[in-house]
Amino acid sequence: MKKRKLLIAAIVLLLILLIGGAVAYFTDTAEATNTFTIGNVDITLTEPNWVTTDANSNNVPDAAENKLPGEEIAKDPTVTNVGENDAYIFAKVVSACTTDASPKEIFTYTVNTGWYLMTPDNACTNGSITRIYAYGTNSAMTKVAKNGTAVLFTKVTVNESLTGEETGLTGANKTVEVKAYGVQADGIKKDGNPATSPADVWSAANFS
Amino acid sequence: MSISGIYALSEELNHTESGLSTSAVDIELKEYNSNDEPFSEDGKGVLPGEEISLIPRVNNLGIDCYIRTKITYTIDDTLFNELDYIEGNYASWNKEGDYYYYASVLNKDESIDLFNKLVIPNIDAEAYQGKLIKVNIIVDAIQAKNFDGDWEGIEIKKSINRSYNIDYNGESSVVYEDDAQHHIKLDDNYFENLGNLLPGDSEFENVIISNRSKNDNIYYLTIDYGDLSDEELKLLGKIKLLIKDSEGNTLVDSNLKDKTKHSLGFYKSGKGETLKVEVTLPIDSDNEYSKLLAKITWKYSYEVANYHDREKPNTGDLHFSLSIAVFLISALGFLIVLILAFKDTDNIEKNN
Repeated sequence: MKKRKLLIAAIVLLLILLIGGAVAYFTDTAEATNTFTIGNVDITLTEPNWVTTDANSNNVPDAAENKLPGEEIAKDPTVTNVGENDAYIFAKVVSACTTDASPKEIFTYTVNTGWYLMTPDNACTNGSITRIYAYGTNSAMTKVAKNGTAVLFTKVTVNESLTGEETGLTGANKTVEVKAYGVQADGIKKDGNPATSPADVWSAANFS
Repeated sequence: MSISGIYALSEELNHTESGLSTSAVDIELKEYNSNDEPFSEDGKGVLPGEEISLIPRVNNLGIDCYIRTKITYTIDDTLFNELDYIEGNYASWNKEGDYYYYASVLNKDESIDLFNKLVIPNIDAEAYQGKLIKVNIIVDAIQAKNFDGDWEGIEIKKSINRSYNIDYNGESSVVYEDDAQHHIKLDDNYFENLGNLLPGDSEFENVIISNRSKNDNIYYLTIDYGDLSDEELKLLGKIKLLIKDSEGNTLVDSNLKDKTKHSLGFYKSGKGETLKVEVTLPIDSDNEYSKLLAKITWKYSYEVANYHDREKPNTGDLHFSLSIAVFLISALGFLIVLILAFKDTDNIEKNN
């Protein structure tokens, strides 16, 4: 039976050879190769004018000690794009507040032009206030190119309205903490569409 | 059957010169951005999900053709099968296997854009930072005429790099019928359509032989040509020449390179015949035979048949292709061997 099957297969193969014929046709082919480099997004946060000298080693820079209402401290959070590709930048500032029934911010600062406050309704809560800024406008982020920088503010001022009687002024050091965020400017999408507004980019990047 | 005692009263009745050429499939692939400027972003740093305005455009510089395309990418030399993140025409073509097929014919001088942008895949940028991502686009084209639609098994080759005239239609031939001295009638446009031949093309002409003389004659056709290049000679050797009489009998089965004096038959005085002359560029002709031009002379002649045997002479032309005969005999022999082998084995099994 096996031999019979082999014979049939051989006959079929032969018939195919007899019936079929080679074809060639005139043809052409063209090729193109495009090469790209996979980049990255990388940012740094520095404060070039924040003097960190601490002569008495109490973990508080001397320039920031024993400040009175109205006094200024040089502090310039600077975000630099050190990656290869354009980036969108955000900054979150967590600043100390008093803990009175009507809490006050202990420090004030004026954000530079070019930044947009995404959280205007935030207020002092549990001794601090958090604000998120986007580098751009309310409708569109601004791209920061490779080696580009965005400076959030240049100084902080001890709140002039402080009297010294407020609760929460003494004790632990009061801080202004800045955190920077960066995300690729090209190709970021929200719900399948290019994200360009601060809210969309922040959401698409899953920042919190 | 042979003829003896033929007097060579050969006269050349008329001759016509025909120019024939082969065409070619010729495409080019150029890339543009959305401003229709040459694409110049090669080497750019990209990020996952980034959209790149890249428009690959296929221009048809040759004959009407079908095209298909395959787009792959590699990251750090690792091949990925397909770049799914593409928008444009390509996405709506028929996909079979690794290729996208354009359903319509891309006519001569037409262009088509494959897509208008591509999107970098959502890869781990941190893991592949600094690595190269290469997007490779391949476009194949095949002649539309005579193509049966089956790309399977077809070896796609680059078009031969030589100049040619895509608009060449073939040179017109001079056809005339004169007095009794002219026993062969050709159409006015005898084989003037041999320009831009493609594999699979066949052209036909009728040749009317009328022996208006008082003698019985034998008529002949000779293909002649001057100095030709090796490629042109190879082309002539590839083009089949087949001549049949009105009953379908094959009088000549040869090619255009063969300068043999082909007999068109014996005709008694007052007798005649309509012959069908067929010129074919076989379907298995590849690019090697493209973009060529050759000129040949169709030389018709006759000689008076002064013979002892009044039957139609053996022209000496084979009526049956030797190569086909050898092949069939070999195939039959193979079958016989197989059957015998099968029987022997069967006997052994039965005996056991």
